[in-house]
Amino acid sequence: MRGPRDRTWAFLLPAYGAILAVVGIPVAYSLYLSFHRWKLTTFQAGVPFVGLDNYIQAVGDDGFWHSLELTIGFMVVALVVELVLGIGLAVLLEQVFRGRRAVLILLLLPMFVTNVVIGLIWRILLSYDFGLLNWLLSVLGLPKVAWLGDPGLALWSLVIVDVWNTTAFVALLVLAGLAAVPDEPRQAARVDGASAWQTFRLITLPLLKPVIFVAVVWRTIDLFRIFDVVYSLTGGGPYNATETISVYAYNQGFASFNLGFASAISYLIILALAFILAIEYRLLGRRAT
Amino acid sequence: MRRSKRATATVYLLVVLAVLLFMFPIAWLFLTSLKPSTLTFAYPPVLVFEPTLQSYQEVLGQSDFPRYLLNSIIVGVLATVVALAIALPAGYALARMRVRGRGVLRAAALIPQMLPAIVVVIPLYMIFRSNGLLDNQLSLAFTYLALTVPISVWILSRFIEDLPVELDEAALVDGASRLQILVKVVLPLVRPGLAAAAVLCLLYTWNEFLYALILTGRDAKTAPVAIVGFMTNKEIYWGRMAAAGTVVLVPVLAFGIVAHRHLVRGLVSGSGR
Amino acid sequence: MRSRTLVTLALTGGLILGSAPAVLSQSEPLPQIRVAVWSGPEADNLRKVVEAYTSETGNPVEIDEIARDGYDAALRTSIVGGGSDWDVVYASADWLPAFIAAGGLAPIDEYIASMPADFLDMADLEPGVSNLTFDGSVYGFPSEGDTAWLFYRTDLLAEAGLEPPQTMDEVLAAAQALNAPPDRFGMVIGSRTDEAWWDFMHYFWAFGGQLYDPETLEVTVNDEAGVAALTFYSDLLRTHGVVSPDVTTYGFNEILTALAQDKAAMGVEWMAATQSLTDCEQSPLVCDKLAYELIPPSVAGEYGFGGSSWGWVIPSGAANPEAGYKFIEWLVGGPGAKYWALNGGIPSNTAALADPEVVAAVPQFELLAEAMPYRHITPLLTTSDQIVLAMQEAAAAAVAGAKEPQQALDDAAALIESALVEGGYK
Repeated sequence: MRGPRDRTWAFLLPAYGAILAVVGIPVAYSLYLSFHRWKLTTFQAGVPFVGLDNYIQAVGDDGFWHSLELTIGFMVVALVVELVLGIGLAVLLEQVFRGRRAVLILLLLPMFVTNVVIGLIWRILLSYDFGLLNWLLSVLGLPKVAWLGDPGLALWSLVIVDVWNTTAFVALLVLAGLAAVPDEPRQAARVDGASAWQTFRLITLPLLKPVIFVAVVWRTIDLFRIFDVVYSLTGGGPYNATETISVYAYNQGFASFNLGFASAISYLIILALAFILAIEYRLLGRRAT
Repeated sequence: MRRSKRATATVYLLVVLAVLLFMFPIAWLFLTSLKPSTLTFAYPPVLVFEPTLQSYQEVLGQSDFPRYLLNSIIVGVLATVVALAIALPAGYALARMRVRGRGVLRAAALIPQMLPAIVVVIPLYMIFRSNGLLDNQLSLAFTYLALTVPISVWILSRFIEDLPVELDEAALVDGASRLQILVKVVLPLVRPGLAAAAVLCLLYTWNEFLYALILTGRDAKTAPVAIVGFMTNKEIYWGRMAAAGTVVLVPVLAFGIVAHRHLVRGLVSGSGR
Repeated sequence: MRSRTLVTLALTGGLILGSAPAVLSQSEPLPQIRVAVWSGPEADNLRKVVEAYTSETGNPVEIDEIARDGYDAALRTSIVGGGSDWDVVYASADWLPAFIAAGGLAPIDEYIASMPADFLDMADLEPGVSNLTFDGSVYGFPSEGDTAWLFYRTDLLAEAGLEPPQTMDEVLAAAQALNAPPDRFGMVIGSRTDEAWWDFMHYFWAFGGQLYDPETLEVTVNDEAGVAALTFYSDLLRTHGVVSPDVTTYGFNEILTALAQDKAAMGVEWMAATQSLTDCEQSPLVCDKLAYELIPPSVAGEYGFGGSSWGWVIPSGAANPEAGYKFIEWLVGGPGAKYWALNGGIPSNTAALADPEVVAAVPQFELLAEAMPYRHITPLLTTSDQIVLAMQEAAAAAVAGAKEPQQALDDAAALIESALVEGGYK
């Protein structure tokens, strides 16, 4: 739809201009670096062009694929849990009940706890020796669980932590979406005798598709790149059981300032992420009729 | 639509369950901040003890933490307000106006969001340093636009897309300019999206660590950097971390209480109905 | 009267003229310097010592305390940007080769030669200064030079009728005797992936392991001694179950907590922990029941364990390098060393360590003196961070059961080999 005097550029310029101003040069520079050898110990002597060497090195490293697999697995599980719980929570919050406002505000809090603090608090809660969860288990006569120490469990404990951290926001997002959904179709369906569940599944959910897509994209990006919480909770361990792709990139490149290599890994991450987002767009992003 | 008693009871039960599950770690955080440090790891976990305000004294009275918290607030609010102000028109343009390469632009908006921070921070550091822009709140807020603008543009464009096009068309026919449509027609209806985007922007800037670490020093240091400072080479000051972690939530609570009417209106009963 | 006035005037004038040279020759305070240090006891200690320095010399010092977790990122970024943010920087000796290769540090030899203070005795600063010397140039003055002890519970050992272990076999036997899971384990280790170097390397050196031959640079990390060390270390969890299953996520802090909270009967831990473990306000459960000794070797008497070596260095872009030099000279070589020790630091100044006041205040310095000959520090190479990464991976993998010790060390050997090649040493 085009208006008579559309000054499209004026609408787009501030936002894109700001983005370009902040990250334009850094992005160009890091892309440049990814094709060169830049290390703290060698950059004074020169920054030679190495073509795709950095990329090839990354792709040839088993650790890279291990981290990628791990990250995707983590992301999918966390995403699904957060979506299901988030939608459920949103439906709950849509009901009118006393104290709803207070509950809404309280539910904001887990999101805003500083990432490092989240890692540390959950380190205590999930600790084998000192943790509240294990204490509850032992009180119930059950054996203690090494939530973070057992390589097979650590990643799923991470899922629990992230679910705690962000489900409320997914719920808020869905709530926003529900607010934008017109009431009439839903009310009409109820009047016609549909059960609550049927109404939800056949009317509400499809109408929520756009906002679910927003939530999925947002969580995909954040979960894929998750770093602070993982690093402070487990450091990527036990061994590499929670070495998500950002932790891998950090260990491989940034810890020793091998910036050429680290930049290449970063762009591979962006490529992988873009690929996943494209799939999600295919599945959820297309506008319904 | 009246609700059966059983349904009401179920709702309340579920709400209480949800609040308990989501709040207990925060309650634990708060309790830890009141414990003398010897009790932090006491096992069995100690729920009843003589509370002490020492950690709060150390964090609020003996360190510069309140100033760092203020920095976080200033930087966060600035980055959010500016982001929303410029993302709204951009989102509108992407949703409603004829834009060549719209899909590409929309996708491209997300790329800064996907960049690992360290890739961006070193060149930024060098640029800022040679222009004397290090260690001040405006520079940091400006940098944070890279975090807040992309996702805001994206969310707002989606929310606007969902609004009925007829409203715009009718206004156009009536001779309104795009700007007028944006402000008078779209803005009131897109409040839910704005609320969601605002919370997300605040969230990103509130928690951000690496840019703040590298680009600020003593003057503009933010809360996350200060908190990480409690993890030292010889011990983790658990009491101080818990106290700081709790203190950091106070402005959030305040914001929630002050803005709750707008938030709730935006999130629950919006759409101008 | 007039003659008396004249005399008074003359005397006063004479006094003034006489003291003029003294007044004029009194040195002005040096320009203010900025010192970077990471957060924690070093920063707290530095503040106190700086107070003393400023009041004694009048030279102002500004301290920049940077979070430990971002410290090396901040340093490296600064170096890449020209290294002009600070005049003095606290750094670990094994970071220096890389910093020097990046052009980030300035040697201090010329200052030592041209303006040494009276109290400076370079002999007192060995071996720390050697760790800060590269290509014949001295790059800084040494600070913390510590080591780790084996901490053990005297009460529990006595109950079990055991003597403090003198070899690694005895350590295992004691750990098994004292093992009472799940409430208390016989030992505690820390193989968290990003902190596994220190803990595991203490055991590696205790078993006589060697990273590479100093002459031929042949990598020997996966030889018999190394594999024995890693097998012992990982078996603690995997075979004997004498450590908590969470040790795969444990680092320095968790080892300290486990010891302090009566969750482990023994453990290897940095000597910096002694103060908090033996203080009844901080560790009421165990304060009077913990003792410490040199980390036992695998073969009686053949000690080997780790240690760190820190120093105060001057970035190449520093605005006031001479003032920075004067500060670190005072801090390390002079009165500062004693203040540093009395305030909880571990100076690398043997004169200060032997000072009776210091010895009385910090009894473990005596054991430290005994330990010095057996200390191994992280290799001082431009690529030492890759060596650390390789060993961390090996230790973490073995304890987590992802790799067998031989395999883990073989993989580490390959990485260390390429690190040596990359650094141009081979």
